Amino acid sequence: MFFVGLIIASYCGRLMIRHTGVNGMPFYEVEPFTLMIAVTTGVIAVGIASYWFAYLHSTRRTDFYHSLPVTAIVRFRTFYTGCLLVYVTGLILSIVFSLLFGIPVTMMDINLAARILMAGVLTILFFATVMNITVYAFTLSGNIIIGLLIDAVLLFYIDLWERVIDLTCDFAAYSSFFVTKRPDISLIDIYLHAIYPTVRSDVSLGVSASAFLGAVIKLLIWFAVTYRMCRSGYLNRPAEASRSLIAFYSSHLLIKLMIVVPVALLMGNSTYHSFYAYRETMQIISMIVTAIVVSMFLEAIFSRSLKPALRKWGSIIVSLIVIFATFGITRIVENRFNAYVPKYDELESYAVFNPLDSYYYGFNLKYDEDGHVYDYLEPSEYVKEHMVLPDEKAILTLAAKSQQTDYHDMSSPLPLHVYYRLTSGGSRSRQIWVDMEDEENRAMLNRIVGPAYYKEGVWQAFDHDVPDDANVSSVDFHDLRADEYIHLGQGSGTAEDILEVWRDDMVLYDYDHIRYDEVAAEIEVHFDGGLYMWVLPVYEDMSLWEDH
Amino acid sequence: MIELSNITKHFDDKCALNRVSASFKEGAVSVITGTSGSGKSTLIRIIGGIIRPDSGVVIVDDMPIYDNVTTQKRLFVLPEKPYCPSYESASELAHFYGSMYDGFSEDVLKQLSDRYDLPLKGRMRGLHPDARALMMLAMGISASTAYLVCDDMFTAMDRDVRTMACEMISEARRDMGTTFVVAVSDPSLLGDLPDYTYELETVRG
Repeated sequence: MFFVGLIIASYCGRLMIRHTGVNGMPFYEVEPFTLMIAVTTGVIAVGIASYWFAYLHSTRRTDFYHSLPVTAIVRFRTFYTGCLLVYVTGLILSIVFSLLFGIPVTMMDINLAARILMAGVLTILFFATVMNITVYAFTLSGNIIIGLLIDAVLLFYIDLWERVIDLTCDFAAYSSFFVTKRPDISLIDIYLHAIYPTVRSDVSLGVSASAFLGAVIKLLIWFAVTYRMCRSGYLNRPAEASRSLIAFYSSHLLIKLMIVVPVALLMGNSTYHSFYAYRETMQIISMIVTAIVVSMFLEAIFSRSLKPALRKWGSIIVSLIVIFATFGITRIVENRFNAYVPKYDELESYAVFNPLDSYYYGFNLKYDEDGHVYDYLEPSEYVKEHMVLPDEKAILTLAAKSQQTDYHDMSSPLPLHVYYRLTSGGSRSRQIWVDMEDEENRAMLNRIVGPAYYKEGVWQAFDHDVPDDANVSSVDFHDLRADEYIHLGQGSGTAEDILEVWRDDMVLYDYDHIRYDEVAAEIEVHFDGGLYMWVLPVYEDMSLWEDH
Repeated sequence: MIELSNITKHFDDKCALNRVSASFKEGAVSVITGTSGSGKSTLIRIIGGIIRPDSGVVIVDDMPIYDNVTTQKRLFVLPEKPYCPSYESASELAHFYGSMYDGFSEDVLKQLSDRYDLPLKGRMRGLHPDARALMMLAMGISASTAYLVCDDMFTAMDRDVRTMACEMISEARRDMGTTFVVAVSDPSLLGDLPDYTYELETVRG
């Protein structure tokens, strides 16, 4: 208990102590730090729950506790509250300790207090949910090793299915910058994506609170569902289950399905990508073989004998039905998804994202209320918000041609992510392929990327002036071919002068003029001592390159 | 009185008990015998309310035992190898039982420990297994419950210790009116202690 308290104290102490520095923790240290908090909290939750509920796997200890004159629900609450109290007590003690000794009194303000509170609530909810899952896993088995294995599967189960769907479905929007930001439903994603902005002292409190509120609602749902599961598992678990690997005889099939289905789909997908000829046939064979082997393996573990594993074909057939139903459904959804092209009168405007230029989409900056740069903008979000392209005919022609020819058969295929804004108010994201050897295609593409509103949608620097109070610490010309830096000066004035020239040069940007070539150099505008910067491409036919 | 009515219990596909019925008289020592694997321990755990039968019911003083605190407070269960928390001494364990059983008497425990030379200080885990079993029996008697259900902790005991255990049980029945239900593979090990003997047959198939 002391050891657990010490670990909690150490990481919470770090959480507090980072505020003692004049500038707080640098932003690039926050992500590894929050990851460390998540891992530590997860390990502590599994450790504490295992320690308190491991008695379920010992006949002697089960007999001892279950023979006492208390009802099952009271016994559950006693153990459960004990687990929670160990952690919460340690957390509160360490926060008090850090406040007393880690932070100068003068630095304590409402902002810091709010962040401590938000981080504490998120972390307690995360801890409690991981604990619930561990308790549930322990109620499913009578063996501590199997219990921990089930726990590992359950903790990462949503992440596993997200991976299965990503790999099984070759959606046209897969890897699209417009759709990779899917809603966080995995427990770990929810926590990590919320704790990161919450503990960043350079992010405004409003931004942190917004991330916090969304995550708290999701974590509360996770907590409620998992609490219900572990409570029900505990109350229904037979005491004699401490003798067997799987506590509920009726749950054998469910556990098998939970493991066999995603594993077979993943194996099928790897096989598909490992073959060129007959790959669809090989994928199906691979899924069948995997389902049979994994089912038999699990049955052998459950019954501790090979004979039942070879006899019980019923569960294998059920697994195969579920696997092929899942596979078929994903195929149908995938085909319908990929075939979508909006009608002309359905489309209001659109935005495109060229993944080959994606590096340069990533340097748009977030400012807080007083013009201070504190983060990079999500590239897809920036494009969605700022790029409004009106030439519907060009994109619909390209999308229709993309449907007609498989991109494997194109001479020079270029992927293009398209974000359609519909007149109905909705939106759709898809990936299309453009054969750049086709003159007509190039002409259509130039109609899309040539006008200024495309460039305004990609580069913040194209239509934004450098903020008056921005601290431009350096403006550099980076010659990529010679790998040389030329320092052009510093301050907003220098930056504005260079940007004027760059904007004039970029008027020529399309696939028949400067964009046909690779980027030759970059203009780097550094803010706040180089923590953040604008990086802008320079091509060979631009005057900036010729003059450098 | 403890009454068993058509108790059936399966472990996965295997039938451990098949429609077992019996009633154990108050103030008597009832012994359940049977060969290894006949289901004695399972029956004791069902009587003690630790595990739930697939069908049938255990009634203690007109109330079912399973997950019923009122009934469980009237009954103390001693498994074959009782668990003792490793960090606790006998007096700490007595304190714990005192919080669980209203009638727990530390005086009775002290008398028994003095008489049979059982140390109340020092960790329970440090005791010899026989001494620990005897100490747990003393705890059960001190709980002053109406019933004490005891799995076969006697077969593995040293002969002298077993004699002491029988003595303890006999005196508790006489002085406190405790009803004992004891499982043992060979009833002759208990000498003339048993008032009634019930033989449990192994379920075939």
